[in-house]
Amino acid sequence: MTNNIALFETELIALLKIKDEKAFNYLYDNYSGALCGIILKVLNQEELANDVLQEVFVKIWRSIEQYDSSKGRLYTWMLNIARNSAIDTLRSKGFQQGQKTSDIGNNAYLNDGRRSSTNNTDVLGLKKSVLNLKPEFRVLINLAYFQGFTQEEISQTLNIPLGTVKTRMRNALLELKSIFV
Amino acid sequence: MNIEEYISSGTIEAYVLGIATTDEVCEIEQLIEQYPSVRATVAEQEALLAQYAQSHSANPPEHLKQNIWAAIQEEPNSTASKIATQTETPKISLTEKPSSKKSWKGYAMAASIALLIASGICNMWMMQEHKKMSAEIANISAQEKKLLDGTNKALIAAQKAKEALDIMSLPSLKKINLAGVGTHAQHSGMLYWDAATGNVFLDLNSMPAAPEGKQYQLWAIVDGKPVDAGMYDPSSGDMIFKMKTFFKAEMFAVTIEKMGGSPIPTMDQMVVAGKTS
Repeated sequence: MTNNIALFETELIALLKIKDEKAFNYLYDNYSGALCGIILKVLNQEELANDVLQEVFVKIWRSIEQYDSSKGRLYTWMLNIARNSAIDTLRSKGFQQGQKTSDIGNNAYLNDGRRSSTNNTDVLGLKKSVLNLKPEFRVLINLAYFQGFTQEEISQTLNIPLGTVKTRMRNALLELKSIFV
Repeated sequence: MNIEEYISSGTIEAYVLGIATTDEVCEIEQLIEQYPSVRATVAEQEALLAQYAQSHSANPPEHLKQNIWAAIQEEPNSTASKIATQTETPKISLTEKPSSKKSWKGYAMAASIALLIASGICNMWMMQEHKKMSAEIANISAQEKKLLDGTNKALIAAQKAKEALDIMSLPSLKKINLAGVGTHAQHSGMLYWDAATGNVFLDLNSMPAAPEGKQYQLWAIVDGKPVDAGMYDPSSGDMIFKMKTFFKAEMFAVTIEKMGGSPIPTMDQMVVAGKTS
């Protein structure tokens, strides 16, 4: 993505607002990997993740008017839509019932590596650096970011005092920064 | 509030991770407006998480792209989707469910109405009792408004400057110096051109305003012929202006033309020009 700044974010937003197909192609080619990754990380189920990804792109397309650039980057906004949609699906009743019977299938898929990575060197580099993150921090970030846990739920799951959840979050992100920057 | 302490409290991290409480979200969204350091920290953390998310990238299956485009195409016509958007879109917010925001806005609205009523009553009483004092209050509130306007203007200007900086720091962008021509030798402008995308940005900030009733017009010289590249409109407040798109040009030049521009350049009114190679 770094060497493909063919469209600036501002221009992309403008194109999205006039519902241009070029904008869709650009959006999909550059962001589907990241959005799909985040959804898959939440749901662990390929087919369902694809459904949610479709739902997410439709949402982005139809709600672009609500995007407010003063509140953050377009990329962050889209990631949050993907994350929220995936977490909503995760929390829905239907998902929890289906989950029990399809555990084996999921693991088989997760291990075959068939589409677990893109051939983008940037992403490969990122994947490697994330391995340097201490497991306790990874768990912490994943519970909040990928599972949508609240501070209370994190405190209970990890058996740490509620008052220290935020401090730990800060330490986790500080370490994330040290390995990325 | 000690803002440095706040930044190191972990609340911002909780906010970007989506686990901040409703109160914390309200607080941060206000602090973002007030403190550039809070805004910068939020942006930095969001970028970190975006990278983290990126490290989990996965390629969706090939066929999905067409499916999604097809879904997008048919969506607006179906009633089901209308209902879906009505119920679903409000969920989309940067970090927090909008319900909390709405209620916060509701409180803020109620509070401001209450304030308005209170100040109205207060003013009426004062007008009767102390006409002088009420005049003074009006004066102070006018000053306050002036100050607020100034702050808003400064914020907008800062935002515009940041946008300009973002554009100018793109590595694919070529910087072309537009030198003064003839009697305008003392003037100069800058042009930024990305031949790959055709984007052209013009910066005439160091030039005097165009004469009354006139406007600067940019021309691209393509295969030896001048082609209109757009009008320069400083009223937008942008630091640099996006002009028309050109994939090929030997030269760019600016002339003074009548408002709205001319179909062909008035050659003796050329002020600055620069070659692309």
